[in-house]
Amino acid sequence: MGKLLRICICAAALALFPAALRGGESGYEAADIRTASFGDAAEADLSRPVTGCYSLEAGRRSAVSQYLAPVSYAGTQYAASGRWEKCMPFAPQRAMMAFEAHVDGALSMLNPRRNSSMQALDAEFAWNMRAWWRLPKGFAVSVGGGPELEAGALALLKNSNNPVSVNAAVALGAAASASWTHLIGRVPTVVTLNLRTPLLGAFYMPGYGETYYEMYLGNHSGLVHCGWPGNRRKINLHLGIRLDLGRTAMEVGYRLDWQRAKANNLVYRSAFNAFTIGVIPGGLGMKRPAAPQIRPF
Amino acid sequence: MLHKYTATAALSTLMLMLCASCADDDLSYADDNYGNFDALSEIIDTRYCFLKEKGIDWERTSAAYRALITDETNEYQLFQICASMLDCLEDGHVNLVSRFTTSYYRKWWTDYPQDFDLRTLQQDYLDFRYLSTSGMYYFLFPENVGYVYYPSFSTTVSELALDYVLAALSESKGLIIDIRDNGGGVLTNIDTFMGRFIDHEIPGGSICHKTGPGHDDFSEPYFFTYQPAPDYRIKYLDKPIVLLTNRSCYSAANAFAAVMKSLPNVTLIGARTGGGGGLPWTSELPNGWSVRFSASPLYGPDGELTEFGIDPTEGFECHSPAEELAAGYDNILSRALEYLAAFPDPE
Repeated sequence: MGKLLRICICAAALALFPAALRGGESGYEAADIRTASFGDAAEADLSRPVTGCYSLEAGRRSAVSQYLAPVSYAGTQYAASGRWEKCMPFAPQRAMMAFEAHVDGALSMLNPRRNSSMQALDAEFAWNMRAWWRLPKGFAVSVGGGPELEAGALALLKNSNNPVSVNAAVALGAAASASWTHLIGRVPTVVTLNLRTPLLGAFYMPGYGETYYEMYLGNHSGLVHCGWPGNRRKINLHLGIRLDLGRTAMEVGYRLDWQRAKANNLVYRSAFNAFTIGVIPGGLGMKRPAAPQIRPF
Repeated sequence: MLHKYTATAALSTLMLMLCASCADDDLSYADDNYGNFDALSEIIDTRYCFLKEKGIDWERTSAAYRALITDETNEYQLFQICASMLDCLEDGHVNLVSRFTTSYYRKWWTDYPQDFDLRTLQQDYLDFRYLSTSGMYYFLFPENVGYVYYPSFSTTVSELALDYVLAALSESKGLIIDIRDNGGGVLTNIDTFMGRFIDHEIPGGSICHKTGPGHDDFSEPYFFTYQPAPDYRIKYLDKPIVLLTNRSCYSAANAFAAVMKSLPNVTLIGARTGGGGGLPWTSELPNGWSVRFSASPLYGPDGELTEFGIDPTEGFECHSPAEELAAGYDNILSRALEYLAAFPDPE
């Protein structure tokens, strides 16, 4: 029975990831990884494929919005995200861009007594351009920045005239990453750490006791605030391990999405710690790319 | 060497952020008898909007009720102590909500005559022949006076339904709008009604909100207006309108009375309304109980705070005693019919 199970698992693995098994035959060494993805070809001859990673995330979110209630709510949140990276055409060995999109939702976050429920829905988009450097021993780092857009809400529907706390912000932020490319056995692997944080922008925060009815009547003053690290701090951190399996690659990782905003004597704070699993169609190009190519790691 | 620094910097940032995520923005009260009481006391102290207008020394009030709590006080007893403390606010918008009960301050209407009986209205005046749509009863009296009874602002009035109602009553010489026993609801229904009784923009009053925890931390008043309904909607203009009120008109009904009273062709007949001129807000205690209270004061078009009710038009205060209602006579409605019957029929 156990033997049959092992055969089934091997067959499934062969069907899903044939390139991974072929990788073992190709005799890659750690030093070959770089030449496979970025050889001595002229810069103009290098293709610049998009490395797109599509992930599902699940984890625990805790949030407190003093507009809704002065106690924190916590529960399981799910998210879908995508991250696309590409080297820039004008300087592929020095400049790259990245775009990220996240949609997060929690159907039921509970208060500490677990007798009240809050819902959450958020979306976030960020684009940034970075300078990147390849370092010895498979390391690469990048630093840059770009615009970020975030919109979402926490809903505590038992409330009367303050049932929803809207979280919306637009900002210019800083972004950085570090990666380490190496082999685990015969599988090319990239450990990545991505970090984003807004630096300057604008965000929404209602008045301390301002109802939506007053906003409906037309009083919109004092709702939008200039955001800077003194009143709105946010970090989106993702630590992942990418395994290049040939035609495809997979990524597992951890995300921390934390923010705290304070204005109008109100605090909004949210923390999302999640396990992520993603797929990178087309792989990372480390196993016999069809043409010389460059990717920012 | 460089990657060593990079890794160190990344790790440091991560640690810093993780530490920062532990920052405590929650209510800093324990989930025990004293903690929950103190949380409630602070919420009212920092967010309730009428402490000054009502001359309440909240610190003293709170201390007096806190002294009633002991470690042996059970959940039901704690609820009763908290509810009794909240009753000192004398505000119908204040509720404490637990899983086992909800507290209400009822004296704003129980200490006054009711001045209304639905059965008397339906049986002795409308003869059960009224029409109803979108939460309104409507009827045309033999005196050629239109009548609309709107018992709750919680029922959203549709524009189309209002077209039908006003079309049916368009040939009347005057209109009675009866909002007795209307305990309020959705304020935007006022916009729907008001648009049918005006042909130009009118001031609606003002609203402000707390801007911080201090008792004097209020925003500047925001003045708002009401707009006439679009021309294709049916309106009731240039004819006398009577609004019937009693003590049980509260919140949105109270706000409606305040703005209707400002129209020159409108007469308020009946009793002073119950008030409720603060928009309710909800907060939460560590044990999960919700507390609702007034947070944003509403002022009428004349600048008067509406929290304490709206008086009938001078010379038109009257009541419908219970014994007369039981005998089938509604004095307030009869007075309105008599008043409007004296107007000439429209040409």
